[in-house]
Amino acid sequence: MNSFRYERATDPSAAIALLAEEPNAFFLASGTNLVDLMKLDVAQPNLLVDVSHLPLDRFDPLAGGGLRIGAAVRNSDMAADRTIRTRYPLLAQALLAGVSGHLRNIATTAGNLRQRTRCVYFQDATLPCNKRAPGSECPARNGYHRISPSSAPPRTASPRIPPTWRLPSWRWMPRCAFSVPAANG
Amino acid sequence: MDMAITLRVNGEVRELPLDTRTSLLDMLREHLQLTGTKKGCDHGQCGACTILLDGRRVNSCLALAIAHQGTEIVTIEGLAAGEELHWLQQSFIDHDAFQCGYCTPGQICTATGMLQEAAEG
Repeated sequence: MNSFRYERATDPSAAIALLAEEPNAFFLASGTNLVDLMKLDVAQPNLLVDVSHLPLDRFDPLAGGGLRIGAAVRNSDMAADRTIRTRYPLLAQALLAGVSGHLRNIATTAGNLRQRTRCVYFQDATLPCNKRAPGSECPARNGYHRISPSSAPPRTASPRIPPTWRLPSWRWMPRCAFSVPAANG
Repeated sequence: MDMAITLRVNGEVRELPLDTRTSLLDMLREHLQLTGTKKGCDHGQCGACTILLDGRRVNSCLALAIAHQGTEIVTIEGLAAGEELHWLQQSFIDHDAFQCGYCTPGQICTATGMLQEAAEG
């Protein structure tokens, strides 16, 4: 992992200003994706701007119905929230089906939306990857692409699966995950 | 680069300078000599590094220490009260719930966190 500077933002404007002053700066929320990628040398920021302590961890009902969910709301808090569970159960079920409780406990809403691809070639800095290094090639086309949005035709032979990758088990996904009651906004 | 960090570990305030790259896991094991928490995959997938951070079970391998100033950490060492084992630790012994035992501290911390989550609904 490369050496980097760390700053904790005091408010959203300060966070943006800190990011703007350093071209190779990243926002840090829980770090469950970013720190992982930094360990793999896929992400190499010079500065981390910590936004996880900003007061953005609330649910606010909106005037016309609906809900504003704060960027820093933890995944487990969203999944456990009574309003979410009764009015937006698909959100709660999707979160609970996604990842371990350990990661849900610190991962944030905005961070979840910013999560990078799970493609095994993207995550291996020793291999070519058009996303990391445009023009270098896409090994997923003819390689392991079960979890990549690749349009390559299915292979007949088994591709080499990088040994560090573990496939998620979907067998325990709750049956009600896809039922959405009529909600009022 | 180094930064000063202050947090509470197993009830005791600890203050130390750390490289910004140090995870909570490496801080506990390498800097505080609390080796009960284990490094399994170091990528947030196995749970052997589970600690309780402000009461919640988390993977310490993906948590940067400098981002957790002022937090309360409980490790497997902190679950026992001196020589008296936590009831979960005793239960693991009573039911022979080990194989090699390497990730058992992670399992016990996870179970402690999960029981708290269940109690909170």
